[in-house]
Amino acid sequence: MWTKKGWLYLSMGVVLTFVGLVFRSTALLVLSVLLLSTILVTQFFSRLGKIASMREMSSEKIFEDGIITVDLALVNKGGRTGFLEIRDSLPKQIQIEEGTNYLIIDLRPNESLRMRYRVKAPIRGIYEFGPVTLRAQDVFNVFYKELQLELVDNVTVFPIVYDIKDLPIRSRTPKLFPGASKVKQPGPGSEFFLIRNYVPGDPFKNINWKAYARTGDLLVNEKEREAVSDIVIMLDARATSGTGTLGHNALIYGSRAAATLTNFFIKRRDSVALIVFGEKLLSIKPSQGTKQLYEILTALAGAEPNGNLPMKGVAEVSSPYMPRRSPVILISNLDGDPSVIDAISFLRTLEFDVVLLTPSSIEFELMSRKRLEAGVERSLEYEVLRLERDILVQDLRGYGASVVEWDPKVPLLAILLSAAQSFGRSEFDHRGGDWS
Amino acid sequence: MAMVQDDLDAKVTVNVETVFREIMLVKVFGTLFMALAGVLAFLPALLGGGDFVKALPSMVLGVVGMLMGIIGFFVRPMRRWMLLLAPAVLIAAVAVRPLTSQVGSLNASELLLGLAFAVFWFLGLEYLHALMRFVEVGEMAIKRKLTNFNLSGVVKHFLSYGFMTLGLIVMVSLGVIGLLWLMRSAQMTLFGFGVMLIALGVVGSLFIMMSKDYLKGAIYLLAVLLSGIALVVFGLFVEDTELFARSAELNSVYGIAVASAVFFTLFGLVLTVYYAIAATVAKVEKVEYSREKMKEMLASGQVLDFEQTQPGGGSSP
Repeated sequence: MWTKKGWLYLSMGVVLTFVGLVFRSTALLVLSVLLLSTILVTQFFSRLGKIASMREMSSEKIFEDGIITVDLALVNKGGRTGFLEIRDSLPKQIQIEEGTNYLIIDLRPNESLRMRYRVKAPIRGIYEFGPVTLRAQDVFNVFYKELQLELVDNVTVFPIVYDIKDLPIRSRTPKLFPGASKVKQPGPGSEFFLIRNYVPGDPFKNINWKAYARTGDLLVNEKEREAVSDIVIMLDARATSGTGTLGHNALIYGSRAAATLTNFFIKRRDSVALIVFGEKLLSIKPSQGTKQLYEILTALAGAEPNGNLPMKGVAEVSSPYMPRRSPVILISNLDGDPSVIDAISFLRTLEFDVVLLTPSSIEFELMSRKRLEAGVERSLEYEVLRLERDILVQDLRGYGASVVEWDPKVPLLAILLSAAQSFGRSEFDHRGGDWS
Repeated sequence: MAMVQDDLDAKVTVNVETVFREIMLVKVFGTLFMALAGVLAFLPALLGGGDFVKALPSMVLGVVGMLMGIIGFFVRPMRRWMLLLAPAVLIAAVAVRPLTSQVGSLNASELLLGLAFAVFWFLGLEYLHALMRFVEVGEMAIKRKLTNFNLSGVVKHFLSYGFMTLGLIVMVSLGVIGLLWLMRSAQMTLFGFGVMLIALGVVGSLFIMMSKDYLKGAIYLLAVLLSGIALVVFGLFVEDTELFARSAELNSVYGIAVASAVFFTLFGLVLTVYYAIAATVAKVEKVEYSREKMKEMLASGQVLDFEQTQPGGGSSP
């Protein structure tokens, strides 16, 4: 292959022949011959030899902002390479912290090389490391030979998980298995719930003797039932969720929220299901445990902003498989989908408690455009979009969904706390029969 | 969000030459070559005993081109521009010098001075370009804290192989210019090109057959060999009038152009055939990862690590 310099030498060689003739200059003609001879000779001097390669990675699964150490080993089993450029291809989202993935080196026969570098992955995703590109140049960089070593490794970067203490989000229809969710019903558990009159068959150990001494009636203590709760998390990964920058968009923020919530619920021994919808519908059945956590984290890492599945369709298809009356945490930017209201209405009709976390794409776009144009936040377009969004949010609240508007500038933990409070209010309203 | 590594790198300036001392060698040699190219750009105008005033534009341009080249070696921010401008100005210096060559004559001293200028111009340009590349690589090695990174191997390779390759280039160039004398006889011209084609056919087919592609090697050999033999046979029967040999055009700079055109066109054709059929697949071996194999592979090699020491063993720049 020709380098730019090669083309320059060729064109100079041809042009100088004519210039030399015009000026009748022997020196220029000799120079043109020299340049053309350079092209003739150097094309036989770029060689790649025989290269063996291997890559070792410190980890193949990390969380956002995690560090991976990559070791790339190359051995030259052929002749001397001369100028050999080596580049281990990295995705653009990956940042090099230490070391280098690019090098120019002269490898002698049987000589080996280890390139070690550390990278940081600030954004979740499933990334490909490699292939390794080798480029051998002749000594004057006129020609090159390029070769791709199909040495590819995948790294899964999970969304960052924040530690949260407590969230009062739980199902109104608990399962029979004991869990950690208090379900506001008498049953097996560890915390006091109420005192009731003794009925034949109650175990003696439950009789509250102090109350008996005080009142003369046999009363028994009831504990609050602790059970497994089913939680459904729905993540909107439609194309509009990618609005904003690579690191700041609704999908990235939503994935972090979903990961944090999943981690919390799994730790609480709840059963968590995940639905990701965008180009396709991906659903992970409700389950518990670390395996489920990693399955969900992997799905969140791989979610790409693509497609435009209507939310109503997603709700209709998924609802038969969703545990009855369980909380549905829907994370969506709500943009570009006229079926949002129908979807929420549909889920509410089926008595799902809907908590809607909505990172605003308008704010993400504003964040990215602020860098380019000043005063965009005062523009009429922004005001109109904000107004439309406020009206939509009000409508959704009208259908009984707990809507938490997510300003990207507000930390995730504050938003989740706000969501929990919102859910608590909604649950109270529901039990009181007031959905206003 | 954290800045990307390249942005951070751009903000840090390091003195590469204090760490990689081999770069200084490139700089010193390059400056010398550029100075010689500058002097040779206008020297024939003075040696020819011509009018000093007429030689003045050439001298001015030669000195300016030389200074530009030297500035390129020593002032890094201007290097890229000087890499483009200095060679162009030096060519201009040659172009504007008063005519000394006559139609119908081509003397050896003029050719030798021209060749000397071409060689030093080429070396000056190559060294300036190499300096730019080495400084970039060295800077990257320092910023990324690549311990044990050995730039001297690359620089030494450039210096040694560079001169060897240049020697070969000069020989080919002399061969092309030498065709002028060969072309004075039509018979010799045909014999010469025929023999050259036969030699090319043999060497090229050997290259192809070394990659175990015997059929392609045989086809290539046959194609080039037949053309070469045809030229030699044709040479046996051609009537040698020497009309062209005595022409004023052949015995002047135009002759070099003709020789160059014939030679490089012919070679272009041969190479087109060669690349069309030659196997150019490099051998690659992918090794499945295992710690033992990694150790084995690296047993006798370089390890580019990122400890906190400076590459090249130098002090902090």
